[in-house]
Amino acid sequence: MRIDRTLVERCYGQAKGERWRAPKDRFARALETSAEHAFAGRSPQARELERYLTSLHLEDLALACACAAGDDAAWEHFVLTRRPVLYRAADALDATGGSRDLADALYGELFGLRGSDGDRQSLFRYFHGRSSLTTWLRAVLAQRYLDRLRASQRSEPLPDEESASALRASSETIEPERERYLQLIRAAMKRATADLPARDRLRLACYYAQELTLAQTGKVLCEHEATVSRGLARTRATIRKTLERDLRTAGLTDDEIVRCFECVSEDAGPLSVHDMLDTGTKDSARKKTVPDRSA
Amino acid sequence: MANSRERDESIERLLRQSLNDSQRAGATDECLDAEVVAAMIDGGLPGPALAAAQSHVADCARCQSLIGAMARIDSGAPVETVRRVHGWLTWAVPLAAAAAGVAVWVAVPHRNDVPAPQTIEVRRRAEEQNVPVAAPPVPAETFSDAKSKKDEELASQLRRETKQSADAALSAPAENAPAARSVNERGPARLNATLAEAAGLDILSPDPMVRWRIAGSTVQRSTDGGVRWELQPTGAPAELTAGAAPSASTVWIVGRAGVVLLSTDGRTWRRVPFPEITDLSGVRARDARSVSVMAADGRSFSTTDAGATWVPRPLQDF
Repeated sequence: MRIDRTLVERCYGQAKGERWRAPKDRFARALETSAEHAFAGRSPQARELERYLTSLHLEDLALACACAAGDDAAWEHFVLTRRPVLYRAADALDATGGSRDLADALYGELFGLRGSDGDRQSLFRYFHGRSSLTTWLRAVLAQRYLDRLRASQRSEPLPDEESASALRASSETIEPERERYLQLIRAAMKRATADLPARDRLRLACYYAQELTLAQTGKVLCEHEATVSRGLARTRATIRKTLERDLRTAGLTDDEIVRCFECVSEDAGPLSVHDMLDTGTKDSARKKTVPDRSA
Repeated sequence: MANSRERDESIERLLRQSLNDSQRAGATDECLDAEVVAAMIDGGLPGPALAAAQSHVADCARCQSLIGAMARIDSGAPVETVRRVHGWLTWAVPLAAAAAGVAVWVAVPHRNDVPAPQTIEVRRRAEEQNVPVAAPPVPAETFSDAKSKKDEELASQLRRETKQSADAALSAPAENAPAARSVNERGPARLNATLAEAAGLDILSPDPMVRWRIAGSTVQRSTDGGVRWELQPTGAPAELTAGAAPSASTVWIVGRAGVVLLSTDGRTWRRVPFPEITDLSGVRARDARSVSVMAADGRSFSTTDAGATWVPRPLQDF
């Protein structure tokens, strides 16, 4: 996608690109790449393209371009202003400081590694200005952190079949009817959630699977936490109606439906995602009712 | 169970169970990259793209984890991590580390291995000329033994004058006083130099296992990522304030009263002559020969010959 030179110049001026001596051709390429991603192959009208480009975090984009080009002043500014942010993000991911090495390792990739053709490929080329540079750095760091966490999980040995937990699980006696009720209500729940709008499912996932607070969930969905709370309540009510209808359709009486819910209440349930990651406390960390996370 | 509240609680339990069970865990071509997630968080995705991203995240455990981590980072709340500390290790490890520290402290004789100037020649400031200032020789006598009364008075005066600004610099918030630096070895020398700048008390090296820390006028070194610490005699006569390690074996440390220390093997230290008795609060190191130190009064001094000559200059405007 070619962008008119005048528009590039205007964006460059808005970005204060001269401050970092950001190369204009590199800046123009970054704008083009950003627009290609945003418009997914279609050709926008001139006004639409201008509106999009001028809404970008252009100063951050210029700084990223200058850093990718290896400008010393830009790098010093970047390091001094973004390193504390990265370290705080690393500490939020792992309070023991174990993620700081990930933050440090990013600088090498941000500066760029020379490929086989001798060109230096900077990680900055993936920054398109649709977010602030700080948010993008946090996202990159979070992605690296989770990848490392998953890699460590893959190397975890499976529990010994003769272990205490395995024996305990196999020795549990399960009431046949209870198992049937649980299967019925779980299947109904899957159908009920699958039929929800994506936004409602995402709200549920943030709150129940990721165990975010209402405020954090609201941040993800760009909603006020009161709206999140109302949305969750509304969705739960919808799910409950759907569940009860489905169970009736399956031929269950009112008493049996009550028994279905009782079985869920009695069932310890699976471990949460976070509990599953924490293998050291796997046995003791049974899922509890979610506490009020309105803070 | 006729109680409506209990039924709602059952639904919540089912939701947690169902949402955790039904999600895909592996990465797919549709998984959001960091740029899209960042744009989503910052409101930079237009309507259709936002709807598509939300639709994917709603069913993708992998992307939900990323969104969740981002939300926790934003709010400063810790993200749960995998911890493998079992039972007695939770108290035994710190106890053993403390015992080892005490043993080293007792075992190592407290002598001043690092020679310091017998008399400290305080040079006039030469910023205007910007010419190299020859550093004074460093005879093999201890700083405290050798200082003349006049020098002592001058040093005290300089300390009083600079204490306030030095304290302010040291207690500045994280944005203004970046913590200890380290960098992946793949980075270029220029980047190493920038990242090696330090104003904190922990000194990280490019090797994540090797690091130093400053406590008052003492230096400790760890070669196992900070689990065990070895006290290193430096003979520093004054409080140390900052350090930088451009490599796993080269460390520069600065302190009050013009103290500059250098180790090129990571274990032994030598006092590098410095032309002024001024409190130093920061250091940026490129290698064992090139370093810039920041004084608490805003000036900086650079050397490219391991401290034989120093070039004073105003502090760079970052």
